[in-house]
Amino acid sequence: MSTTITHGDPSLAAASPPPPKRRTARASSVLVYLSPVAMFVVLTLTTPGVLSTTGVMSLLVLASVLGLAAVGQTWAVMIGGIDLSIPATIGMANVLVTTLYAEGWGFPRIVLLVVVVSLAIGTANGLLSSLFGLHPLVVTLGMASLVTGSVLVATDGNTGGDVPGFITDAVSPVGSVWGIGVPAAVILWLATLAVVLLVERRTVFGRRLYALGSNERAARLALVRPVVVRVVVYSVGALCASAAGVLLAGFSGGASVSIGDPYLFSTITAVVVGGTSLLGGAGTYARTVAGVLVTTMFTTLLVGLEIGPNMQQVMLGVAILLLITVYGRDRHVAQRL
Amino acid sequence: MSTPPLEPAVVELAGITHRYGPTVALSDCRLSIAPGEVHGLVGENGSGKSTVVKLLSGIMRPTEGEVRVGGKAVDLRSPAAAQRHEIVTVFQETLVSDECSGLDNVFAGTDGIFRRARSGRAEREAAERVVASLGASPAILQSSPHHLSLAERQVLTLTRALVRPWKLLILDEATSALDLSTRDRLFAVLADHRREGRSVLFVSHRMDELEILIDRATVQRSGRTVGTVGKDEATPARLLSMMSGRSDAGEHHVRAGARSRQAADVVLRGVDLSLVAQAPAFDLDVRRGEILGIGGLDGQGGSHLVEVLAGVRPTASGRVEVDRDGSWTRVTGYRQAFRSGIAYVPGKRQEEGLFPSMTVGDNLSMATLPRHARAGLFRSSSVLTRVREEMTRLGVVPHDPSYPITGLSGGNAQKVLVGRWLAAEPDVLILNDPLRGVDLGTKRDFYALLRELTEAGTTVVMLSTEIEELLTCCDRVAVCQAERVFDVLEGEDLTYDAVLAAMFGRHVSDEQSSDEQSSDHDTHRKVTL
Amino acid sequence: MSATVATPLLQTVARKVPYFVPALVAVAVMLLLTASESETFLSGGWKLVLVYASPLVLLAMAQAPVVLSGGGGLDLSVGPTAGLVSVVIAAVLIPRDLSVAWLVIVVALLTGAAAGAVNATLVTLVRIPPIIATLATYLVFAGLATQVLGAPTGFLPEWMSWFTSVDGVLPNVLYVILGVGLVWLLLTRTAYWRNLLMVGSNDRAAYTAGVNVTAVRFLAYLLTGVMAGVAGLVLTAVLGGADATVGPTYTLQAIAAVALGGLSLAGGRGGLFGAAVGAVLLFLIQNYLTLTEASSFELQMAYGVVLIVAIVANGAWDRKRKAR
Repeated sequence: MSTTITHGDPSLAAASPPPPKRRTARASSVLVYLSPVAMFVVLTLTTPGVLSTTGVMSLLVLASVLGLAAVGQTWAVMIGGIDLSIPATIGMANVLVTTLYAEGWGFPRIVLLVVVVSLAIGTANGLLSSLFGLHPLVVTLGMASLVTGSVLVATDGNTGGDVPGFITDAVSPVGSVWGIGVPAAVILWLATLAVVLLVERRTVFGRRLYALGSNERAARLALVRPVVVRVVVYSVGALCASAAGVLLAGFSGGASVSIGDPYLFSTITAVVVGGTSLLGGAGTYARTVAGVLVTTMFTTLLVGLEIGPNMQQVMLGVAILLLITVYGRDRHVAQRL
Repeated sequence: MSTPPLEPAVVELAGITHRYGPTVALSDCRLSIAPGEVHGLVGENGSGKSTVVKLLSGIMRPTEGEVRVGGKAVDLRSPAAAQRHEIVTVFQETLVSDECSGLDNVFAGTDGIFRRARSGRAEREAAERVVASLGASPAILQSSPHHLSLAERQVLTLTRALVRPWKLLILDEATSALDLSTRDRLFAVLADHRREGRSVLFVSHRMDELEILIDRATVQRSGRTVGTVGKDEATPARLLSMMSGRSDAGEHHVRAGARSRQAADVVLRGVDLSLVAQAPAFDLDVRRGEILGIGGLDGQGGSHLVEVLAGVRPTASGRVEVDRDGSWTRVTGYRQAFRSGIAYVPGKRQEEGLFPSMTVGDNLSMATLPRHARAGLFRSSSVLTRVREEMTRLGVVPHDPSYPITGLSGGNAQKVLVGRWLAAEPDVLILNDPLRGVDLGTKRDFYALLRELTEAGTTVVMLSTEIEELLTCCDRVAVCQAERVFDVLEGEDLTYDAVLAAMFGRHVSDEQSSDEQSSDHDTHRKVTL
Repeated sequence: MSATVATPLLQTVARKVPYFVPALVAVAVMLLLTASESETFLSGGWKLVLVYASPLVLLAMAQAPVVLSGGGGLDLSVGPTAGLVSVVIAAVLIPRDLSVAWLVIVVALLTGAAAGAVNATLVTLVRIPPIIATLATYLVFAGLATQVLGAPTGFLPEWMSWFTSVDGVLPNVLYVILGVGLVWLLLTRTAYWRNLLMVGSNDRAAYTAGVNVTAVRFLAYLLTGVMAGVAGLVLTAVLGGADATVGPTYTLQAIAAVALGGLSLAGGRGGLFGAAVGAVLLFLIQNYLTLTEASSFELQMAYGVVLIVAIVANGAWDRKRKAR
């Protein structure tokens, strides 16, 4: 079975054209990973206060919350979907932790409950978006309403409560783990990053995730089960979003079902700034991490320049447009023929 | 080598060079199409002929050189601009919209943004005339094309081209989606147009079609124009040698007689099989180590049959069974079929096969990745070794697993797809029309590969729409007609005429005694223009 | 050429019946339920319901052309555009005594058109994927609106109360909706309709057939902007002033309404009528839940369930339609 068939004409090898897209893809990925560095330089020039351990750590803590929330968005986008239920999931975890802790539940028990609820949300999202080719945009939108409503009903709207001290420590810029001067939130994020990248690059599941995003029909015939992939993708996303929700409880002490709302657009923004194509089948969480760092520093920069939240929003919008114009443009119809 | 045209050219490409970034797709291309001629454009994949088609259809603009229409340089900046210069194109891919009616599909693009060019009635009458001349039912204009067959969809795009005012019609492998009878109707229609002075640029891999149709042919090789030859010179052997630059190119290895196989040695069988509801039931045996060809006109059940055998499509009634170590196991789905040693290479490469955003290596290893994995983690080195082996065996160019799949020519992409399933080392390999639209070089390699596989004990079931191909590489051929296997031909009985007759639901023995049948046969073999 | 197979009844019905019928049936059911729950509904209460539903109805209609135009067509910025229009009226025109009816209306339409033109340019000429382009303009428009108008205002010229009046046989706002519908109806009598559906369902086929895909899509975004402008005008009247934070909340509802109305989010199937029906349905569901004196918490929960069920039912219906 190992006989080689040589192609008749060796000149045909030369005739086979190198793909035109490859160079630009490389160039843009360099750009993506350099942009956090460039942004950091700009930030230190305008806001010198950032250049301290505490300054860097507080940036990283903010980035870890957004980073965890954006895991699900990245994978959802990579399989050609989108997840609008992330804010609701964040709010759910946030409220459950604070409310139940105040009622005297043990933290492990709370975590167990949050994990179970997250898996339920993810499974429902995955199953429903596999049904009849329903658009995940609408499915996750409905799921968001359902989750938020259920949490409110369950808690009767009394969403305040207590926060375990170690969560407050976890998000404190001066916090440390095992004597290393890095807050636990950042460690958690780095660990998640490592696992997510390992799954993307070295596992059968990771390859199937890309295959599903690239061509669903072909993926099915290549023995991929789209339902399974979707359920895992949305479940992992919900778990990470819940982690972000728990961490958020450490910031203010107060809790709210709507605490996750800003993360609807900021997770999409991070994915987009990282350059993961919304068409699916390509991209990686590593890019989203670059996007998370850039957007976090960008916001800090604008705050440092005393630009109000409204104009921050405007400038973020403009920045997205500029970035995408540089490396994320669609092809013209003619180029798809 | 070129024969000068007698009259000024309708359309001319003068010194055209086209680059994609640093890659030269076309260099110094010269092509001149005379009024009233059918001009063949031939070349293997990657020879630049699809670039020529795109330039003439207004999909791309050349980097250098001029496109001339009626002697004047023109800028074909869009398909609409090409149509204003009366150049219309029908592509291999059936470009129809499923949400618009057939009629809207035909006339879309003839209007302005708001202004309608003609009344609904005028549209319907014009379209019905063309559809009828192609032998299709005018009903296809009324409904949305959801439910139409591939051939009927292509009739819509042909109609789209023919209802417009045109001087040059480009058929870019457009006949590969047609069944034989529609194709012959089309050729007859083209003959009429040709007499009215209209020209056709005919791009096809099928030598029999070229032989029937063309007046002159231009040959492309590796982005360069080799030359233009007149009808007398344009024999298959001559064209093939010009295309490949070799002198032996016309040789197909014809399978030296079917090796006799024990009838008992059946590896896969269909029992009381019925492909669609209410279709007649039949039995089919696939013998170990043979190449069983599946033939038939488009839409007559051939595609359904391979899908049913592979477990991709449920049977309407009856069952498919595979031999697992001496006992018969029923095939209930393609995952289970795969576990039972059946691998299925799907037909529509772009829609059902390839992962466009991934590399050659990822595409090739997708189905067999779990075999290289422990606890879900795969060993890259082990995967890569296997991928390289398959790429070497199949002769995939370039030999680089990290190359993006979209950078490969159609033939090479098809090899990768076949490699995905060969890597699984199946007992039975089922291929759904693997060589549609593939260049001759790949076909030759492919025939050799199939032989090699069967010698090692693999069984192959292959659907093909080309009779020559079935004759070239199959031991037996099952011809489908009206959603059933009409006849299984082998040995002495496996001839061109027999396969063709079976496609139309007749046995050769009937045909000899009936004039009607032989006229049917004639239409196919020699449509004269 | 293709084998004729007997088709089951339900499938035949699904194929024959227009895309918006399931939503229309659901609206009828909701009307019955609402009427049985509220005594005043039939005797005029429905007019008020329609007035409150009108911004959503108009925004769902506004969403339709871009969704129809395919290629992932979507306008996340419709809500903020309406909000921005409202802010321009309340914070720019009225304080300067520029509150003549014709001027306000023209400015509202022009502001909407300008927002639409920005989106159109970004999506069709710069070729930024619609969801990203309109997410960015969502942020920009919403940010600008809040920047211009920090706190809600409530001074409106007298004539604007015309929009919310329910004294006539029909609520006045219905004439606005019908007016937009009429303009669209006229548009569908032109070649634009065929162009839009062709581009929406298969842009490559449309392009090779000679359709100017870029122009058709550009116009779709422009139309969406203009209609969002109308919605902004009505929103201002319904709110009795301007509140920069209200507009954006409509965006996701408008998309849900479009999906409920039977339009395909992949493009090429549906129409403005379906979008309007979907919006009415969405509003009636919310309204009914309020009527039954459910707490706002239960309301939100039930809303999610109903949305999911409705989308699943719609998907099942579409599956039947497409089945071979």
